[in-house]
Amino acid sequence: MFLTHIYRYTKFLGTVLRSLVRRPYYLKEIIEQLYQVGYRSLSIVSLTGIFTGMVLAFQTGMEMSRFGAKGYIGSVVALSLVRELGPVLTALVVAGRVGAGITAELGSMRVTDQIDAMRAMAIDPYKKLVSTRIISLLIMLPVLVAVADALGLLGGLIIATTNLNVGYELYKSTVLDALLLEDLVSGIIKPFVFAFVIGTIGCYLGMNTTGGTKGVGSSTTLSVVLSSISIFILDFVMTKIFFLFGRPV
Amino acid sequence: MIEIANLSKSFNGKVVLKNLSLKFEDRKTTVVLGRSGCGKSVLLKLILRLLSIDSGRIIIDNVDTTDFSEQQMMNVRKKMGMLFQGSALFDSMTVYDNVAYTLHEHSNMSEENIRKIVKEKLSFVEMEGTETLMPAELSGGMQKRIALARAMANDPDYIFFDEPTTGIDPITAQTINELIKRVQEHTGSTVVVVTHDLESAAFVAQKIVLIKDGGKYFEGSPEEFQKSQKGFVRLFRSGGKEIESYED
Repeated sequence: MFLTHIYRYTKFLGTVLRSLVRRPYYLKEIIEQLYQVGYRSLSIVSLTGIFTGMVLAFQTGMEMSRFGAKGYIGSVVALSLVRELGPVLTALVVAGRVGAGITAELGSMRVTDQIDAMRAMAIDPYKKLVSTRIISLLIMLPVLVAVADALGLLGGLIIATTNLNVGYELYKSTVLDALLLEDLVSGIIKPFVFAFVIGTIGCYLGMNTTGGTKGVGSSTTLSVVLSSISIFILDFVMTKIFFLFGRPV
Repeated sequence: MIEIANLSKSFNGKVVLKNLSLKFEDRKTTVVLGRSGCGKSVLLKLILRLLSIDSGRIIIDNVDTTDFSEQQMMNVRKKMGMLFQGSALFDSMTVYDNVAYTLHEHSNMSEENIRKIVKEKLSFVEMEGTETLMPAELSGGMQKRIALARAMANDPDYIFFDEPTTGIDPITAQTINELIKRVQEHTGSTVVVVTHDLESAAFVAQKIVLIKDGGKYFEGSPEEFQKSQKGFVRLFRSGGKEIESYED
């Protein structure tokens, strides 16, 4: 069963990759999906980012105060957010909101013959439905992660200045000192990989849904579970790889 | 013309179609009859290649499409329209967008021309003025009619009907039957109807094929079907009442 899924998922990836480069490109659908994936996720991603930054600054700041190191709170917040928490938490939120939505939508279309109707009308559903959603995720997730990072740093600044008596200039300089170009690169690569995983898992499960409305529910749950597990595993693997390529510890 | 030769299809070891051979002649309405689950709908999906073929050949307009790729099938499908059993309207779109879907995808027509065609097709199925409605706002019978308008939008050479009268009341069913007849007369398309509804078959068919055990059991005109003394034909015709005399 597991091997069958691996085989079918691999085959699905081949079909998706072919459809990504083939005409037509459905720009109108991509723009619609950019709105659905990006704009409509903005509020939840913003809240996640700012509160993560605040709680991170508060928790670590209190501990660091005991050792007289609270001045470095900016470095801690920046490194934790940009390297790990920003990409991972944003990806998890998007997997829950967008990935599940994609699976439910495509799954419903599948069990009500709408996907077959599309094929019968000589329209490629992989091109029209799948590739447009994956492209939108690939574009929007890095943007959402950047928003979450920025708001997380802002949340950290709020706590640093109001609770920890760390000034704006000190916070800013420790943030800028801590972040390296490699961090920004990994901050782009990670969400890009997560977006591909969320999109392909969501679409694969949706396009292969069977068993009526119950099947749609199962596929949707599985989509969130598999995407979340994949995000955690891939985050670890990518972090290891980035360190192997020389990022300072 | 669509020619099917020795077509077989199984699902998880269960044989649904076995060496089925038949022809759908041009500009005629052929009704494929059979018990529920005998593979009638599968046959349509195999012709459209929505399902893969296990063995056998499908020849459409003298071109063997059996080994066609999905991309090659796209061009074949442009000549076809299908009305699905559950209508399969795109539920996130209005009636107008559903009917105009193929035209938006496959033609360079202006929106004004598309609007004219949509209006004409909706008028044909007696659903004028429903352009802005969503599928959820329509009854089952209305959805079938919109699905027919959608299937006819690009004037296909072949129109397939999958159980068009299932799940609707007898009066609406008769309206659908009249529409099927009118479609064939009006467009000259080759029409294939799969159903287990004998009244519907008697009303629309110019030729009847009865499927049993995955193969062709009977093929002939509606008159020949009515007169046939073959066991399963009699059983089917009587709605299972002549079961004692069934010997096949």
